[in-house]
Amino acid sequence: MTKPVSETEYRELTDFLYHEAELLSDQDYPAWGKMLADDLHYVIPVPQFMDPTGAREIGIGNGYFDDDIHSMRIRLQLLSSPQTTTAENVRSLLNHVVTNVRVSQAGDNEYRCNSCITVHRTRFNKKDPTIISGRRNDLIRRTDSGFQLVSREVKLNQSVLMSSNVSYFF
Amino acid sequence: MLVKENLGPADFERLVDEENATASRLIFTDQSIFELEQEKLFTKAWLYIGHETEIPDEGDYVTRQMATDPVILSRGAHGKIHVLLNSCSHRGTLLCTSDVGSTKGFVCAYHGWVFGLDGSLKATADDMDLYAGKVDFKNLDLKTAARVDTYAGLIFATWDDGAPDLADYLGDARWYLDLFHNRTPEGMEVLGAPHRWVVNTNWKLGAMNFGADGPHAVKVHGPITAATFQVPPTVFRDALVESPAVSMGNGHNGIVTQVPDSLKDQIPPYFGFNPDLMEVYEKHLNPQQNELNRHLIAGVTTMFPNFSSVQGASTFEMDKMPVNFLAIRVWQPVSATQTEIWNWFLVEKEASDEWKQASMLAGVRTFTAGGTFDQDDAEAWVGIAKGIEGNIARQGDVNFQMALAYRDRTIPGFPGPGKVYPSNYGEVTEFDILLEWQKYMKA
Repeated sequence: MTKPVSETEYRELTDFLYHEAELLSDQDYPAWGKMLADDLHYVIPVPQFMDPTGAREIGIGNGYFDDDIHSMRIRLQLLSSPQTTTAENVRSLLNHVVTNVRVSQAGDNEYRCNSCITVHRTRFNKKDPTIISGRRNDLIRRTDSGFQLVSREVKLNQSVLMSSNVSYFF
Repeated sequence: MLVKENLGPADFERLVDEENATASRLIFTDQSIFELEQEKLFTKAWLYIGHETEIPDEGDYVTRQMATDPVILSRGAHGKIHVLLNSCSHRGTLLCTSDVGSTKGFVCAYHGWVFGLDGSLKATADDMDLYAGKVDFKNLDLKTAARVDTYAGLIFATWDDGAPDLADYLGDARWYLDLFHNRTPEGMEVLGAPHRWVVNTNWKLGAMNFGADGPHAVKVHGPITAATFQVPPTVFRDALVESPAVSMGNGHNGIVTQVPDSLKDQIPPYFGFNPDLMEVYEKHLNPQQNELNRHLIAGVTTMFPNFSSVQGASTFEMDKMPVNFLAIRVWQPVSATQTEIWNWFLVEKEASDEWKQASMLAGVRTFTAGGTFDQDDAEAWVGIAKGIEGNIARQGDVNFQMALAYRDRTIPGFPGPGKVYPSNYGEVTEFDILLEWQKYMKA
């Protein structure tokens, strides 16, 4: 059962998602980092092609990404300086496209936001863009200092990532 | 030397120059050499297929690659493990389209031919009598790998009837595999589905890097190491320079990076290992293996040709103790300049749920497509493919000449078998992978 939100709230939340997308495309990680909650959980599971009649999971599961605020801060720190990243020196050209936004109330001061994210990326050594798309399921919290991302699960549409690395975020 | 067709033994003799410790750049770029590798190497060598814990029960299967060929890894009656070519014996259709699952058999999507978990043909499109006895159905079972065998939960297969036994193929490398895969009575289990990603470079670059490239670590991984361990790059460098590299024989190579002597009073034994299992390790492995594991800070190996593993400890919270992860991977050749990496994380079966979770996090945050180590390596390997593709560039060599300084300096009295060299910086073991490659390509 989802609780609807007001037009103003919908506008506020989509603005947050667009702002975030712009910072991720700019790789402005000090600014994006400020939009993350201390209890952050950022996870990207491994998609699998599975015959539903014999579906079976192996082990406890290990996503492509599974970060809390501590590991995310270290990632952001490394990616923020050309001295500490090989993958993003020189930087990729990124474009984060956010669509299909749906918002519902998830509790006091918290919102469930579902959206689609498509990242277009080109590299100095791969000039035709790599395009990866995903369906995001976010929990976003309203705080005195603005909205914060509490959790994000990204269901990618590639089970084999057609990319030599993922040194950016969805 | 320029690219030409019908490369023979004399050509491969020149392509890897043992005396000079160099190799032609063509072996990383040329598609005709890649095609010959498929024939001469990947149909002969033992290849890693999967882990026993991925198919625990009868009927379980996963789909895999043996180089460019798709295969099904299944567990049939009485727990027997099968490796089947994933191509219908009728018209060649890809038979099984799931990454993972459980089934009683495999049904072709095209004409409905049915095969058992062992690859035996059970039914054709309709009544088999329609063939009026003209066809010997025994010839229409799925093609299976010639040999399938396991070591410490690791399943290998080969297409070659004449291949040596897996035990002999791995040889002394088993002693080192034990450090990572056989250190508790129950052994290891996979933590989840494999991570897969595609890197535009030759498969041998990854295999060599894990076999292992010591000198790249400070340049490429210095910042993440400093950030997650608070270890200054000079200490990291000293550990690598002073730690042994091992040529285990048959092209299996690696490094076992040890705590530097200067830090042994600060870093306790079994740093990063599971504290609940320390006594178990001590009982299960032999004293020489324990001696190595006690001060191990990283172990990186390649089992020839394309199966690698890396163990290390990591933490992203400075007030928490580092936790070991173990990643294993296959450098799956796609073309001369494209490789699909398959990467799994393993942990001791005996570990607590909390430890398994912590080990999984230590692994996925470091060694995978988005990992803080791997993302940087990939850039360097793609850089090689880009740097050597041109007409002038491909006429040059790739250089392993640190080997000239180290190849005659084996360490006597080392606890483990094989030829052991005194430094991770030596380039001897990395180059040894190419010498083994050369043997197959000349044969």
